[in-house]
This record gives sequence, structure tokens and C-alpha cells, in this order.
Amino acid sequence: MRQFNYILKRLLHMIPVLFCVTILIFLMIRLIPGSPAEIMLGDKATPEKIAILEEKMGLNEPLIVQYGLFLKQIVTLDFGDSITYARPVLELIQPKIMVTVGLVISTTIFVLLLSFPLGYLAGSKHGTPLDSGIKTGALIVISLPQFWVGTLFLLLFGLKLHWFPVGGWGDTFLEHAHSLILPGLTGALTTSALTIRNLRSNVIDVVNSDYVDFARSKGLTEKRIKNRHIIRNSMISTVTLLSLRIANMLGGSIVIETVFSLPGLGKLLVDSIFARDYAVVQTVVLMLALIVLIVNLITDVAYSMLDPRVRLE
Amino acid sequence: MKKIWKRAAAMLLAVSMVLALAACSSGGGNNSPAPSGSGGESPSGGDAAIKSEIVFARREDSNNLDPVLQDGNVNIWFFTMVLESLLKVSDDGTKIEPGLAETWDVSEDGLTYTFHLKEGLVFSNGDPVLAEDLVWSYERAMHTEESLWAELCLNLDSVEAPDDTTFIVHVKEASPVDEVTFTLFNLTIGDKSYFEEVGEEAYAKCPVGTGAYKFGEWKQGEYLMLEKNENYRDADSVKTEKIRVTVVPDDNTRVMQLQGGNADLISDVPWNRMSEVEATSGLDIATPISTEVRSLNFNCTKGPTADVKVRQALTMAIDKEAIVKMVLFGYGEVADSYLPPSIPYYISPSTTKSHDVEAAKALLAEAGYADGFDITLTTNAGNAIYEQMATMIKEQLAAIGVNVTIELLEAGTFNAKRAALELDMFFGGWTSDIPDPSQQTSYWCLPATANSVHTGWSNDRVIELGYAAAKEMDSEKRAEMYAEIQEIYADECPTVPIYYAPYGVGMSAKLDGFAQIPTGPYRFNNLTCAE
Amino acid sequence: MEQKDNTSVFEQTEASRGEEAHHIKKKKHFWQYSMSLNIGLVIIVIVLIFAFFPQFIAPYEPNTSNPDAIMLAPSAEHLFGTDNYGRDIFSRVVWGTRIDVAMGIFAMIVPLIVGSIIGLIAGYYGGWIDTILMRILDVVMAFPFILMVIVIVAILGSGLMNMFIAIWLVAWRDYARLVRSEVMIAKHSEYVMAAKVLGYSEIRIILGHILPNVVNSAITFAAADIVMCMLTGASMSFLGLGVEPPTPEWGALISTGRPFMTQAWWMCTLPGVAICIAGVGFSLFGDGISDVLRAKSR
Repeated sequence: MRQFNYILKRLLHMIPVLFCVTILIFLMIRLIPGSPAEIMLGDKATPEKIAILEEKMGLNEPLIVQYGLFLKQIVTLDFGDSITYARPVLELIQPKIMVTVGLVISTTIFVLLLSFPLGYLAGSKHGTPLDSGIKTGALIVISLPQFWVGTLFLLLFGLKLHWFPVGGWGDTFLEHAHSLILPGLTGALTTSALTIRNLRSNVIDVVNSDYVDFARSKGLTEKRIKNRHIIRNSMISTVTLLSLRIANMLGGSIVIETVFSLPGLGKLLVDSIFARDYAVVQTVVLMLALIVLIVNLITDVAYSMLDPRVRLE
Repeated sequence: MKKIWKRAAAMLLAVSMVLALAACSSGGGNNSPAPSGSGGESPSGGDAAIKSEIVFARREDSNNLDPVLQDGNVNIWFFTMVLESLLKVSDDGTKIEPGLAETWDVSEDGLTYTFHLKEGLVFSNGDPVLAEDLVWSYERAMHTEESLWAELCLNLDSVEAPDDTTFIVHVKEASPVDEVTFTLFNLTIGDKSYFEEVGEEAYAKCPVGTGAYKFGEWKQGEYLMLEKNENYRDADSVKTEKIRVTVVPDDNTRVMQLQGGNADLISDVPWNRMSEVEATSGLDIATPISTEVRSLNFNCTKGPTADVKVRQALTMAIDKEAIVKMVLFGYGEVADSYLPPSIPYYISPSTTKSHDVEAAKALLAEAGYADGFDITLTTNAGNAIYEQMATMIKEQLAAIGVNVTIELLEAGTFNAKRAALELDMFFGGWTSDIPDPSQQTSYWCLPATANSVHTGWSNDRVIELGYAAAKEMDSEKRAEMYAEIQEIYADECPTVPIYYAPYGVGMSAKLDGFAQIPTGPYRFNNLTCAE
Repeated sequence: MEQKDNTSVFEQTEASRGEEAHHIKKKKHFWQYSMSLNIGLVIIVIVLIFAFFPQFIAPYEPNTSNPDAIMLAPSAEHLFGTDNYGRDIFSRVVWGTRIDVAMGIFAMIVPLIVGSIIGLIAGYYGGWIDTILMRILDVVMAFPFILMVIVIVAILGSGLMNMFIAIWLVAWRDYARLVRSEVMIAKHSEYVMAAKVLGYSEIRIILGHILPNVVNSAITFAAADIVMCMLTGASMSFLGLGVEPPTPEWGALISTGRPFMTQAWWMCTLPGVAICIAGVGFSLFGDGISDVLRAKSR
């Protein structure tokens, strides 16, 4: 019941947050100099033509009217048309959501596969050469730019070994999955370097903590201590860290998407910012916000289940 | 307020269901650009050994295929294979050839053009080409106010079609450019009844025309499919069934796709990779000539560059040859005029300033800047070529004491500042849409069109000549006029034309029949690729 | 007399030294806590020398091109090879140290402090303060990091300072969330309860009892964040919104060298090695600090 109340409260809190997100994104993209009409016209821009196009785009309305229209669009779930792509925003982003979600899933799987065993190993063997090796390896991996790693992977596993396609997204589900492996791994390297370090330091903290000493003095087996206390307690802030990355993975994968030619949201979002395609940017950011909020809520609830010391308040 | 949340949840649910459906339905296709190579045998018989699907990787996807409402080359270069104009430019860009019109007559006064269309023309959907399609296509191009290209048809007065194969165009004034106008991409013939049936939005995704190819599936950001038009009047000559035009934004990845056989043809090969691609066995390059000119533009309204002597000095300080060598890796030519050699009436002006650091210093001292000055060179972000040129020009101008600060601006901001004449120096360029100097001249030299490429430069003699030359029917006089304009331009240096570059195309050595005309559009009618 | 006096002074100092030595044995010197700290410090000192005195280390002018030495492979003459303008890459890397170290540290330190304070306040006080701060955090969290940076740089214009501002405005959120979640745990611990019972002031409890126990993960994160900030520069260069050319910033070196990866691998790889070394140095230093703090808090 308590948890139910908490979730309900958080869901209610989402409304003002989403409201602020709409205002923020609405104002931010309009603060960037240059109007969409001007960009579309490029070299051919003249004041008269800009005026005609802006009228067609509905940009000569006062800001408050434009914002009202945006809110109306949210309520009616009709997010308007993209000015650059001349089609409804929802239709434009639907296929791209699939790509991006696929990329996030692929990345997360690789992060989990890499960071939990390595992080736990490094932490529990604290101070040994193995620990130093994992730690230094993670530090080196974290320092590699994604576009460099991605290009190297394509060169090696795509072009030389033919294990994976050289970029692209494919047509069938299997092809999609196949083409997401290298991008997922590339994205996972940076993130898992962070999570390995974080998990390692948590494991050290937990191993040295009083309650593990206490558990030991109670005569619990090492295995039980490991499972019940160390792993569970050290995972908590690592899971937070992962959930913190979700927005970055969803909308910030422009570099990976560009290198691997994946038609995802990140590239669309950046292209749309550059083109001042207000409708696309607003819709995508709002959607990301919703997903991030839900993921954060799930993390917080999961938190309270994992760690009895945390209370929902 | 709670209702919003409910709706949002409903939306999320709906989106995820659509996604699931999309995932299911997309499972059927087997034409993948996977390394295995997916071309089957050509069903057209005859040449059993050619691929039925060619993969063409380009940098950027199209966004709108409606000839009237679209906004640029990413669209024009492709839909012109689907939608045809009455006349067309020859593949080498030098001549005007019949398109949909078999023959055409011009009245004595040059004000009335009568086109006689080929018999039995049909659109790819089977609809015959009717008189109303011709009139609708032209009138839509002429009268759509928000079209970026309406100004290209300003000289057209009215059109009429007495029957389905006769089309009459009345122009306002006789002009040497008229004939070229009928080759324009926005004056291509589309299917009126189809447009009315599907509406503007659907038309922008898949217009229907009479060309060798028709548009198939288009997954925005992924690929655009060109499919052979079985109703094409010369369908037997078109050998390749499908051309999959994929989007590969990263230059390195695109080249790797060509090397790995995932793509048969790629555009925009980075200049530093050209010789490598050429040297790879099984690969080839092509460098079709273009009308592209890249220049360094000065603000002629304020700052030191408002002084013509300063502009001349800066021009002399720039070593164009070094730029062509180091930025284009030799795949390009040093520019001497704002017109490229691929455009008629181009001359090499005698007034062009050659590279001479000492003379530049002297001239700068004469202008009162013996100790040089500080200036900002702004470039729009994301253009690697401009960044490289900026780096070199900064160093070259330092030799005459001019201290350049390079500023990177995001494209939209750059456009806004440029239009307001707030930039000191910036890069510019133009690829002509028509094989005639009038468009480029109005763009580079006339304040009314684009503020003389946003330099604010204005020269009365050039303005007078520019308008007169566009209407001059006598080609000898016209040549003289354009020569004089180019001489004055090269002397006053509102911009420094730096290089003429070709298109950099990479392809499999098995590919045959690739053509790209100097104004950019592709011609894939004869494109084939051996297995 | 003089002799004796001297001896007594000597003895005196000796005695106090002995006392000091005794004291160290009890408390240990900071370098005895952590090997990471020592290695990290050595690397940082070397990096700082590069940053402060590039003119004595770099063999060539960083921005002067040389048409006769284009894309030369690494050799004794050009340690890291040359780029497509014939500029010496080692010299460019050396000169770039200053920019990247400043970038890493300045971009990290402000969010570390601001974020930690916000996280402390929100976590300790809870209630409506926490609710409001966390909802603000939610708003900022909803935007992907690189997207926010792009938008802010697009508004303010490109350049190092604007990139800092952009990172400052966004990056505090990670620290705030991290610290808050640790505070939530720490404030229910016995020693905080005890401190409360003893009637210590809130400031004393927060700074003296909670902060030392929660700052560890923030510092570990911050150490890795330095290199992430440097890489943000690389990503921004990749998108064309990085520092102005020909500034020899490491990220920009990697990004502009990448098109040449198959022809001149050294152009993008060796500046990458520089980021790696500096990154490892700062991270080890951070780990070391965190080791020391951990040892002290025990």
C-alpha cells in the first residue's frame, strides 16, 4: 500500500515536470538564432520569401499562441507535421524509435555482461594485480572516443572479417539484431567503464562495512554473505548510474548512429535542431522525457526493494 | 491534469503496438544490403549476369520529392529520374535535347513556344499523359507562392494545351534563357489526377511521372527505392530492376561499404580517399564535371574589406593552388572566375589576381594597413572542407600581417548572421541549376537576388550588364557582356573564387552506365552492374 | 658555549622529528594509503608540466604547416608523425595539453560542487525541498547530455567558454542524483543518529558526518568525468561545433584525423593515446583520494 501511494504520488509529480519540459524545450529551440524558413531557403533567402514561408509554418503567431498550439497537440496526440520532411511527426519517428530502443537494449545487455562480472571481480579482489588490470583497462576504454572505436570495429569486424555488416540496419528482425551488435558494444564500452568503476568501489565499501562483519560473526556462510549482502548492496548505486544513462542512450547516440548508419532518433534529433524543425524536436524530447521519468520511477521503486535502508518518501 | 497522463500512457501503448506490428511486417523483405550480395538474376532475360538491384549509398536522405515544394539537391538529383521535363540537358551538360517533347517551335517574336509531345506517353501508374496534366504541372510551379523555385519561372506568362500532345507556353519577354527554363526540375510533368487523389502529403513521398524509374518504398533516413517503370516508353533499354538509394552519413563508413561490397556506388567520396579507392582492385572512381564553385566571400559594406584594395591584397595573399593540392588532393581546379568552365560564356579574366605575397603587402600598406589588422573568418559548422580551407587561409593571410580568427557557427545561426551582413569573411559556393550563366550571375553579382552572395557588393556597371545580358538574344553580344562582368568581378574581388570541384563518385568496377550531369541530377537509365 | 647551544638546538629538532615520526606511524602519510594516488600524481605532474611549459617541450610550432612533410609516419624527427598539412602532431598534442586539462578540470569541478551541494540538501532535508529539487532534476535529466550541449552551444555560439557553460548547466545533475542517493542511506546510519542525539548542529552533521561518507562515489565519478569532458570536446568536433581550428585541442585532433584513419593511423590514434594517459592519471588520482578518504573515515 505504501509503495502504491508512493508510485501514485510520483506519477502525479510527473505532470508538472513534463509541463516544465515542454516550456523549456519550446523556449530553448526558439532561442537559437535563425528561423526554420531562413534555413530552408538557404542561399535564396529574401525577406519576402521568409515572410511567406513563416506564415505557412505558423511562425508569425505570437509565442504564447504557438505554445498553446503545442499543448493542444500534446493533448490531442497529433504532433503536427515536420517542416523538413513534410510528413506527420509521429509517422516520421515511429520507425526510428524501434532502431533506438534496439540500440539501447543492445547497449544495456553489453553493459551488464561486461560490468557486473568485471566490477565484482575487481572489487572483491581489491588490491590485487587483477583489480589493477581491470581498473586500468576500464580507464583506457573510457578514454577512447566512440567514433574512433566504432570506425575501428567496422574496419576490423565488418570489412576485414565480414562478421558483421558495414553499417546499416537491414530489413529482417535477424538482420536488425545482427547490425546492432557492433553499435551496442561500442556504446557499452564507455558506459561499462563507468559502471565497472562504480561497482568496484561499492563492493569494496560493502565488503568492509559493519553489517558484513556482523553477518560473518553471526556465522553466515561466505556464499550467503556474497549473495545476500555484497552483490545486492553494491548493485544499488550502479543501477542508478545505469538508469541515469538512459536519456543519453536514447537521444544522445548521434555519434554511434552516424558511424554505423543507423536511422535512429539521435541523428533525427540533431538534424532537426540544425533545421529548427520545432515540431520534431518538441515531440521527441517530450517523449524522451516521459521515458526517462518512468525509468527513474522504476529505478527508485526497485531501489527500495533492493535496499531496506532506503525509504520511499 | 490526470487525463493528460492517461492519454500519454495511451500514446505510449499505441506507439509500442505500432512498433510491434512494424517489426512483424518488416520481416518479409529479403533485399538486404548484407555482405552476401542479394542481387538475383535479371528477369528481363538477355543479360543473365547483371544485378537486379544496385545499392547506391549517399550522404544525406531526400526529404520531399514534390518538385515544387522541395528544397534542394538531395531531392532534385533523384526525382528528375522519375519526373521528366519537356526538354532535357544532355548527359555532358552542353546541349539541350528533346525530353517529353519530340519537337518544338518558337514564334517569330520569341514569345510563344509550341511543344509537340511524343505520342502515347503514360505515367508509371498507367494513366495517359493528358493536356490537363501539362497545364496543371506548369501552373502549379508558376503560381505556388511558397515554392522556393517560383522565381525560376518568372518569365513564363501563361500556358495552354489544345490537345494531349500539343502544349503552348507564352513568355513575357523573349530571352535566351527560355529554352533552358523548359529543362528545369520544377517544370516537370506530373499526374494531376493522382495528385488530387492522394493529396499533397502523399505526393511529396511518391510523385508519379513518366521517367525510366518510379519511386518504391521510402524509409526516411534509411533508403529510397527506385524501381524500373514498366510503362516507360523505352522500357526495354532499362536493364536494372531496382536501385536502392541508401543513406550512409559518415564518409568513412560509406567508403568501407564500397570496399566491402555492401554498396555498388557511393557519392561524396572524401577527396583524401579518392586515389585509394581508385587504386583498389575491383573499384573505380568517376569525377563528373560539376558547376560547383567555392569561394571566400568578403563583407564589402563594413570593416577593412569594404576597401577594394584590401580585398585585392587578401586575394593576392591566398595560395589557391596549395588549397587545391592539400584540401582537394588535386581533384579540382584553381578557380579564376565566379563562373565555372562548365557554364557557357565562362572566360578566364585577365584581371584575376595571382598569388603574390609581396604585392599583397604593398597594396595593404597603400590602403593604410601596413601593420595588418584582425579579422574573423566564419564558417558553418560541420563542413570539413571549409574548416580545412579556413586553417590554410589563416596561415596564408598571416604572411601579410592579417590576423585571422576562425569562428565556427551552426548552420542556422550562420545563415542568419550572413543575411544580416554581420560576418567579415565567410565561405560560399554555388552549384548552378541551369546550364546558363544568368542564374549564377544574378546570384554572385546582383544585390537584388542574394545581396551579391551576401557580400553587399554593388557595382552599377555590373548590375546594368547583368540584367541586360540575361535578355540579350545575340549570343556574340551576350558573350561580350558576360566577359566584361567577369573582368570587373575579378578586379573588384567581392569574393575570391578558390576552386572548381568535380563530383567525387566511387563505384564497383563492374558498374557501367553511370551518368551525372554538371548541374547534379543523376541519369541511371543505362546503369548496370555485373554480378 | 656556542657548541653546546648548537647541540641543544640540534637535539631539540631531532626530538621533535622523532615525535613527528611517531605521529606518522600512528596516522600514516597520505602516500602510504594508496598506490593509485602516487601513480596518478606522477602522471598529473607530467601532464601539468606539458600544460605549463609547452614551448620548452614541443619541437615545432603547433600551427605551422609544412608542404614538404605531409602525413609522415612517426619517426625520430616527428615522434607522433605529421598531419595532412605537415604539422607536427607531437607538438600539437603538447600544446593541446593546456586546453584539455583546463577543459577537463573546469568542466568537471563546477558540476561536482554544485551537484553535490544540491544532492546533500535534497537528501538530508527531504520533504518538499527534496521534492522540488528532484523535480527540477527530472526536467534536466529528460534531455540527453549531448543534445543539451548542442542546443546551448548553438544558442551561445561555439568556443571553449561556451562549451564550459553548456557542460556546467547540464552535468550537475549526475552528481546531485548520485550524492542524494548516498545521503539517503547515510542519514539513517547510527553515527548520524548519534550525532543528532548529541545535539550537533545540522551544518556539523552534514559536513562532518554525512559528506565524508557520501563524497566517495562522487569523487570516483568526477575522476572519470574529467576524461568524459575532454571527450565531449571530441564529440562536439565530430559534429562540427568544437573549438575553432587550428586550436590543437585533443578531441579536435582525433576528430579531424579520423577521415585519414586508413592512410595515416597516427593522426587520430596518438592524440587518443594522450587522452588515455591523462584520463588514466586523473582517474587514478581520484581513486587514490577516495581510498584515503575511505581509510580516514574508518
